[in-house]
Amino acid sequence: MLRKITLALMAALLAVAFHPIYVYAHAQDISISVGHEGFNHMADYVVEVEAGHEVTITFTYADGDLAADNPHQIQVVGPGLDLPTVSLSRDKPTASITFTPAQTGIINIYCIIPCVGMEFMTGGKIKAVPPENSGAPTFLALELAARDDGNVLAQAILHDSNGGPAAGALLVFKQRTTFGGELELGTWVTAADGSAVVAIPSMAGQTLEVSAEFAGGNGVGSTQVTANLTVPGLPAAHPIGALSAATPPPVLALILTIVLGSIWAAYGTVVFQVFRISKGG
Amino acid sequence: MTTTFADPTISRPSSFDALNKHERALLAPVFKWGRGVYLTIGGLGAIVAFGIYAYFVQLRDGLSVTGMRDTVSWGIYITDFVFFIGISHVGALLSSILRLTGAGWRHPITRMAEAITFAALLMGALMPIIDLGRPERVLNLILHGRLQSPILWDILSITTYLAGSTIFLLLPLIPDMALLRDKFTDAPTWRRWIYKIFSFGWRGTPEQHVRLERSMNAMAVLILPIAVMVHTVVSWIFAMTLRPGWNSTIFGPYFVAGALASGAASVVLAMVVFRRMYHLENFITLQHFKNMAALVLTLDLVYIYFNLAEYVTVAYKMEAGERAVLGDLFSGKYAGMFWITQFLGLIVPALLLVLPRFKPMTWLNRIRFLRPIPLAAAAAVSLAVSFAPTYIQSWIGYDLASLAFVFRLGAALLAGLAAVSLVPRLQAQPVTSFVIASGLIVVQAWVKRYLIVVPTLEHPLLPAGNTALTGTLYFPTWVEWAISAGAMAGFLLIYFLLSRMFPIVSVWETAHDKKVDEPIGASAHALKQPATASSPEV
Repeated sequence: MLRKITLALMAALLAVAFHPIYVYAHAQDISISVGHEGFNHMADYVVEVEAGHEVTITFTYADGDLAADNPHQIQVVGPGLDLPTVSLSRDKPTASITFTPAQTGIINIYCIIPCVGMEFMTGGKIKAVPPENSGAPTFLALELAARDDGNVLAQAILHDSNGGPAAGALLVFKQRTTFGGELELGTWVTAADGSAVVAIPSMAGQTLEVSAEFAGGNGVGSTQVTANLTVPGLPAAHPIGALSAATPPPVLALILTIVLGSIWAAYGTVVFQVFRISKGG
Repeated sequence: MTTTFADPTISRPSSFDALNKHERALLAPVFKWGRGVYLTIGGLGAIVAFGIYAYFVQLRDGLSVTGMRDTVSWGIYITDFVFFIGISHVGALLSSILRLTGAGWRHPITRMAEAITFAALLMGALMPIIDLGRPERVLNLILHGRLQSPILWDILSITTYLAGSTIFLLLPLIPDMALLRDKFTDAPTWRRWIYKIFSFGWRGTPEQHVRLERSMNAMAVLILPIAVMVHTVVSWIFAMTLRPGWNSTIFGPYFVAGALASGAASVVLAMVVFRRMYHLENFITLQHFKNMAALVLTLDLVYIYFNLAEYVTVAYKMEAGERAVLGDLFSGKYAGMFWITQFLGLIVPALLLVLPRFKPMTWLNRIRFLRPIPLAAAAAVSLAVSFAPTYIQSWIGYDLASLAFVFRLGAALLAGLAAVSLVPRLQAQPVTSFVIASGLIVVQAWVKRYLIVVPTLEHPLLPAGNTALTGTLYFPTWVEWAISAGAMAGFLLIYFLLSRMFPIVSVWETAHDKKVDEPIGASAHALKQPATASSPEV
């Protein structure tokens, strides 16, 4: 009986642990009422928005029933946001914040004025999710050019399905690293002509592989392009030392191989002895 | 040596009756799984499940749910990692050194130590993966790992150590597994299957004994340098960066010394728990505690020496980069934590370990005001007054803030006197003294690692983006505490299950030992007797 209760307790805990997150809305324009009982009377208000696309939150004052004015100052906190803040009061019952989440993640909404309902005023959350990448096709061109100052200029131009420049879109630039991974250089917004330009530090003789990505969303398709360039000139000797080189120094590899190889060979000998024991000695 | 099933809720397998007296004493915890076992598993399992829930939250919402940010990117996960790797040293130390030196008294405690190594390594190896945030990226260390990086050395050495420790734990278990295979005939099928597999066809022939001894000796020689290597490499993860507080040439031995002290102290705690829980009074005697206390004291003193060497040399020079870190530790926001750790976690344990060796100070009992409970209560009141809220101060009409330091100093003095008043009792009960010392050392080990990891990261050599470099840059969130608690509970759960699946004291190795029947409450004068080795090895 006790065993069953223990198992049931653990199963219940695991079920609680893996419960799904509740999503109450999926929109780019959001309305939230703010009162002393919290946001929309919910302590865990969760909305999904698409990262990389403009989001507008309209806050409405919901404390009209209180005898005295109960002003709120709402702040939106999250990756890539510069703490946009608005005030709400009886005299100013609506206010809105418009921002573009630069990346996916959780964005929190707080009221930063202590009041009677303070414990309810820290639970607002928005979840920025990757944008839907289906819709009208887009086209992206990428050109790399070496400059005399040691930088490589990467210029990407985004066009919409009609061939016109797509302004205000977020492009993510990535660079293939020496060790095979991808280094995210950052996110740039396209200018009026649909272009975004990035200066990438480089060395003579270095081969760069750079990619630009547009995630799409809001009815527009995603697109991605990659370009390569070998910077002119002879590569300079590595200035730091062998430990920073792309390939390990042979002596180090040899030492590690001998040490670890010897240990694992000794393990193998012991396991062989156990095998002999299992055969009766 | 008697074993009874006084608790009616504990089932008694009929095969238990077939065991001899020696086997009954050591195999009782393996044969009988009563209500307490399931409650312990349930309790620890619930903490582990809560830790898993917290990890799920971290996976779902990202590392932003932790207190870690760009500047302080290692927190209590890496603290736990270094702590677990540290206490894992004890299996190698005790079993290997004592086996190689032929110390026969080791037999009742070596398996406890080896099991600590195994369980601690399993949890320790998990912590950096949890710290990664995206666990699948651990593959990048294999796919794109650089042989020049201490991180990869760490993975290689920990994997090697885990494999070696598992073999080292399994080898002396083989004869006991065979015993359980042959005698625990009414065990559940899955357990009989485990005993059959891991007894490796053991029949106890002379040839098998020779091969087993040869293998155990080979592993004893091998495991010690591997253990030292592992913690040295763990220290290099810190020391091979140009960071204030980490840029040290003695970090390797410094970490190894700290690891050995905390590991040996954790064995003392395990000894006292198993001794009481499994009624092993006839196997774990006062002599074992005395021997272990001497070992812990030696390691504690070595670690104190390394602390002195590490901090004094750096503080004497006060290089600009180090100044900020040492300032935080010596007189800044971590000063309380740092000095309490050094004093309560290193100095006091050394005194407690050596205390029973002195002449009994019963004359302290004659000093009337030296009474522990009133002194401790007075210390608590004095401390509480020093933190009195403002409204209480206004209520009594006196500003206590200016006298806070006096009240805290008074609290410290009263607490010190309370501790002094306990000296005669601790001398009369040496095991209690050893256990308190060991507990303090283990707690110190965790806090010390936190103080090594976090303050340095709060003081980067280069300005860190938009982060303000003052104030609290890192404090663990509930997610981190929950995951850490889950890891600790996981360690205890694995350890507990090992002790319930297999005999925690080696049956076959102790079978031929001379019994040391010295009672645990023996006079402190017994501590002055030299340690006696038991019979030759099997």
